[in-house]
Amino acid sequence: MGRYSIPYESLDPLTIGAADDETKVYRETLELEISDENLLAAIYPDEPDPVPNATEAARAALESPHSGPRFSELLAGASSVAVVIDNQFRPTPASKLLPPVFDAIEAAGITDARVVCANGKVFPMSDSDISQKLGDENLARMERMGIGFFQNEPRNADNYSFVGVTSRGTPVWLHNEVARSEVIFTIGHAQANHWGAGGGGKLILPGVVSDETVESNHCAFVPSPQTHYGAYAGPMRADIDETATMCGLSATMNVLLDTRGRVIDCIYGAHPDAHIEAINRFNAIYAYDNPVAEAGPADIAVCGVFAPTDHLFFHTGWGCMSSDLVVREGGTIIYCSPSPGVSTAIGDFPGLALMDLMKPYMPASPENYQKVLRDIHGRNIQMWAGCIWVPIYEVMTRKHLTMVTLEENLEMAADIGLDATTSLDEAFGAAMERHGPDAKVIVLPFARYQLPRNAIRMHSEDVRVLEQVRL
Amino acid sequence: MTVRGISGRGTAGPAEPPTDAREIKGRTTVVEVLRMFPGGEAARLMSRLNWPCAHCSGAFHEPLAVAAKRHRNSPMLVLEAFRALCTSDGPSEDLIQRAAVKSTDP
Repeated sequence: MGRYSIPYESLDPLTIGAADDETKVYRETLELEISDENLLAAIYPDEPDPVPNATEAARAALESPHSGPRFSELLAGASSVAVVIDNQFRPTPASKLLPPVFDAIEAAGITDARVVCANGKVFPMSDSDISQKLGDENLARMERMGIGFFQNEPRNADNYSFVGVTSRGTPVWLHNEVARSEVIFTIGHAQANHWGAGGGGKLILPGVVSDETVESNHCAFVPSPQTHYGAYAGPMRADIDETATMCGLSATMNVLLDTRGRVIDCIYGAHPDAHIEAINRFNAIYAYDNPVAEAGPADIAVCGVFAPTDHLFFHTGWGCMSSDLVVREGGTIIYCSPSPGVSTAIGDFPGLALMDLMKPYMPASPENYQKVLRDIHGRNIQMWAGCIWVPIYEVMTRKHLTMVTLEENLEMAADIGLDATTSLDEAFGAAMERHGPDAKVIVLPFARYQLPRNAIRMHSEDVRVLEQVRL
Repeated sequence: MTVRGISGRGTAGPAEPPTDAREIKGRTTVVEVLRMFPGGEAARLMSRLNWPCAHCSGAFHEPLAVAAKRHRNSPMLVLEAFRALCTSDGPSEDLIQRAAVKSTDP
């Protein structure tokens, strides 16, 4: 019998993942006993130490490109620059990464510069979010340097310039403040995820493009079986990177963050090379050898969450799609996520906010999934949000999902039709009951980061049917 | 032009709902109605209508009537439901159910 710690972490609703305020981080764990006979694997990643100083790591990275020119060379002779950063729901510590960027812009003598928040179709950052994300010192410096701050307003057509249509048919309108800049540079958090990867060109699409561009890409490619954890070469991520290329993305700076939100690596260079390198390094840490080939799929996955991934199940729950790859059809995914909700300038949102969008299609079933697909086709589902809840729903049509969460979420879970409890022991007991005494169990403590290595598709020639991942 | 964020926590709007329900109009935007109800009542009603608008930057400055049409709900019933947030009982379950009905018209 082994005893396993499952991270059950959360952020205070009043802070954001990038704030680096340990007093507002709740690092709880749940304990679970699993007999050795039942355990298929418990995969705890071997994470490197964080860099001693994120600002200096960024400064060094900017002058040591993975490919392409140094940042100072890129800026030399340029007349304008757009620095695109991610939003309040991404843990990238922009406040620590911006100082060397501003130093370089100042040294290059560029006075036509702006910072644009890649909030895509997510509501804009509040003044409080901006203060936490960018840092007051950086904001004061931006004021002194005349650097404006902009956010995405995807339905304001006047704010966008038409760029063209991607090879996969996505029409691209780019935020004017980005479009008019000679150098376009993104700062983001690189991680493998269900949509291929986060960071890099993703700060362009969906970050700073119009409603039509976001919805066209997401409607077309989210339901594709080739869009899955690790599928960098899948159609969704490939379309995103092509869009970024069309938009003239010059270079990217990509941080890897450990499960405590600390910077463990910083990779700068030309688009898309530097981001690909960042994902390769991420996968080297967080991808694991798939035990399914030798021992068969798990009947039960037990997943945990770590604080920087945020307040809402909508954001912490991505690991449903990665654990799906190692759990057999009909199996159970137990997802331990406190999901305390988030307090915003426009009100407080509960921990299951946006998951309620699946309610009209419940119970999750292959038949009801057809309704989902029809409503995506009919543009009746907003896919900026559907890109997350639809894949979770699709998993639920094939596997049983049980949430272990805070008591305050149980009523909303029941209203949506989600199975939820406050007790991991109860959830695990019920799963063992369903699958019998010989059930095989996999523990994925940081499921949102973790993926089986054989799911990785970095190049187009790697694209194969998903069944080969599940073996 | 420098664009800053939406007003910070605690300064988002009036502390109480409007005293006159007629202040909520078809042209009242999503963000305006959210700010009228800092207790989250408007956000919860949007959730009941199956709208993601409370979280969507695209919808933020969209009038309620346009949002209703976009989501295939009756603008009149939607407006009635939001106005009912000003009453002590809030919108009835029956009104919410009727406002939440989606038109099957394309």
